[in-house]
Amino acid sequence: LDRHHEAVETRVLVVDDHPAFRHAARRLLEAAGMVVVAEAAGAADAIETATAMRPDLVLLDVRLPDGDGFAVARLLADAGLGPTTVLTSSRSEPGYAAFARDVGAAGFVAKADLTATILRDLVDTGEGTGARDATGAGP
Amino acid sequence: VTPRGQLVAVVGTTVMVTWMALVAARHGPFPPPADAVVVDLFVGGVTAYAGVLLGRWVPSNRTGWLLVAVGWVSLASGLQWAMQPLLFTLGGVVGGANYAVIVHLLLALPDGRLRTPTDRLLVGVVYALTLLSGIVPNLFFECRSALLTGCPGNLILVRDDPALVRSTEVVLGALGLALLALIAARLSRRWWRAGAVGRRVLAPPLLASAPLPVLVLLDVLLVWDRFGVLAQLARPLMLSLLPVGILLGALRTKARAGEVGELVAAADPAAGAGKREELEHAIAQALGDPTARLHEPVDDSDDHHLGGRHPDDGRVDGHRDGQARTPVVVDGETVAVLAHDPALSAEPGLLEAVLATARLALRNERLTLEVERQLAEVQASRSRLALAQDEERRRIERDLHDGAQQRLVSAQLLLRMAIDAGGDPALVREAAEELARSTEELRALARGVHPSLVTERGLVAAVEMLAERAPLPVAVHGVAARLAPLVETTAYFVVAESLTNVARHAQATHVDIAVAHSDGLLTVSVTDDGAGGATVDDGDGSRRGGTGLVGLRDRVEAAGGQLTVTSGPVGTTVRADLPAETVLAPVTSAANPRAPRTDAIP
Repeated sequence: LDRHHEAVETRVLVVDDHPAFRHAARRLLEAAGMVVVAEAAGAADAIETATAMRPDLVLLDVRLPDGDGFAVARLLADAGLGPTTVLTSSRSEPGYAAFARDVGAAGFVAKADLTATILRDLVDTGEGTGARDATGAGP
Repeated sequence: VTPRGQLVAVVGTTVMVTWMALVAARHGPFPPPADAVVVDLFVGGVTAYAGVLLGRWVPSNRTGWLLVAVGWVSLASGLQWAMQPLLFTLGGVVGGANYAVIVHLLLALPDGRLRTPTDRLLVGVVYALTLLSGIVPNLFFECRSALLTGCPGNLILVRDDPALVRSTEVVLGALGLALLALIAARLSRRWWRAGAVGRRVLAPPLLASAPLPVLVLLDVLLVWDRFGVLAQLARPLMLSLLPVGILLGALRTKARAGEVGELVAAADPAAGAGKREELEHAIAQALGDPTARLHEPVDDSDDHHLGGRHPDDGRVDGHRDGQARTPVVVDGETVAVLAHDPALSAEPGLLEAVLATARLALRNERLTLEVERQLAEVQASRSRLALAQDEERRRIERDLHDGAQQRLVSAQLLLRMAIDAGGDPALVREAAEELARSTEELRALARGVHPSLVTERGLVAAVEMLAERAPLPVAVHGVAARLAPLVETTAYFVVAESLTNVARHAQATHVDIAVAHSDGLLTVSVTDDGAGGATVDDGDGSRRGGTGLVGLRDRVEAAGGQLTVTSGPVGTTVRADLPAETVLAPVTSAANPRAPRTDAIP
């Protein structure tokens, strides 16, 4: 399943106001062969960068200093810019996955559970519909 | 007695008195005993008007009505001098009935109501006997010899029989005397049973009616003529004593209960009163001075009084508006000034009594306002505390999320990468550093939530630790025993918050912290040498705004203490006084586990 992904580089935008997480996520995803093309620290920044860079995947923090990650996800979906959005947070509330699908995102993954594999799974099965709930995927 | 009843009483009395006066004028001057018409006129008029007056003063007291009735009956007996058969006959029947109404009145003292069936029976018998005495003798009495002016004719005459008249009068008189003895016994019994207050009410009318039995006796024995002019004078005087006595009694009661009662009622906020105007009105009423006014206390430095100020109570007798001024002092503070007729200064007792009540009312007013203010303050403080607690929780959640949690997530991701990379030591080291930083952040956060050092080592040790961490030199003085946890924590936060404020705002170079505990009071003060200008209140005494000092004050007050902030152009002192009983340090019992349990209980 993962094979054709290895051939095509997935271009990722990481949106989070915590530099430590952006840094860790970049290293994790790049170690798994993805390319983090940009980072954004806020909602407005995220939309601007997504419009400019046209990433394949947006890893989007739920709570941003200037707005709500779910709202950003809906905007991106409505704008038809094309990226698959995965919401993430260090909080892991039971309703987040359903929320994420409601706003047109592929799904939700808790920060602690983040791996490139889970992201790829979400992108494959998701495309905004029927994304797997990755919330409780960790041990 | 209703206002309408009063009008009827006044008009009726006036009509009768006028009519009697006309009769007297037509027939006078009379030789004795015919001047009885003048006696009836005088006694009846005085009594009826006294009743009207009493009805006006004390509308709830029916004695006024009874007094009017006594007066009317006395006046009606003057009908005997009418030159008209019906009126003449009526006058003859009614004449003497005034005694019956007087008995009714005396038994119905003090409020005009007959209390017991015995009393009602007695009064009924008296009325019946009086009616008999009015009718039966007149059945056999031809009026030819009654007056010099002739006789209009007796309508109920059966036959003229002076001897029979005499004997019926003797029989009825004997019955009357027996009844009189009964009534006297009954009144005496009531007097003996009455308490001090009851006697005060009963005394004037009973004393005033004491001569009446003698009068009745003389009437019955028909021996008036033997006393000549003396009797003619004594009779109206004795009869007039009754209304005068009743009025005097009512005056005494009214002076004590009426005005003062109304004043006290007006002064009672529970009765729905308590308004200044009502109090003012009641005071004016009680003083009998319609010009009396309650003024707000004014700075009288620009007050040019004409008279001298009394050295003892600050009273001013002559003011420029001609009114005297008497201050109303409550708890050492002049809360109002009573302006009144200067003549009242001659009645210091009355003035003082009224002022005492006014003070009561104004103190009540002040207390009510104070309690309301305090309640509002406590409610505001309580909701501020709840708000502060909510904000505190949000802050802790945010701090956890933004701080330690992010570092833990990073560490986790780094470790996962290290695993994927076959245990890359660089990644593991990085993760360890993140873990160390998150531990430090958690520790700082926990300290902010609750200073564990306070719990473990006590207030002073914890404050010394705060002083060490402060970004400027801080000296800590004082010692304190172990106190209740709430007291220690509250005092700790006073110091912590104050030090934060100093570091942020004061531009100070040095801070002194003093901790002292004595007589169940813990005092903690933080003094800096900085810019000053700190404040808790925002001028109008209310505490709005979101400064840390307001929250601190709420916290201190919630622990039963008091926070004072003194701040000049240079330096600020934040001081908390907290009620604190010494609690034996847990160390004591731990160090000596064999100590009897009772030792641990202070």
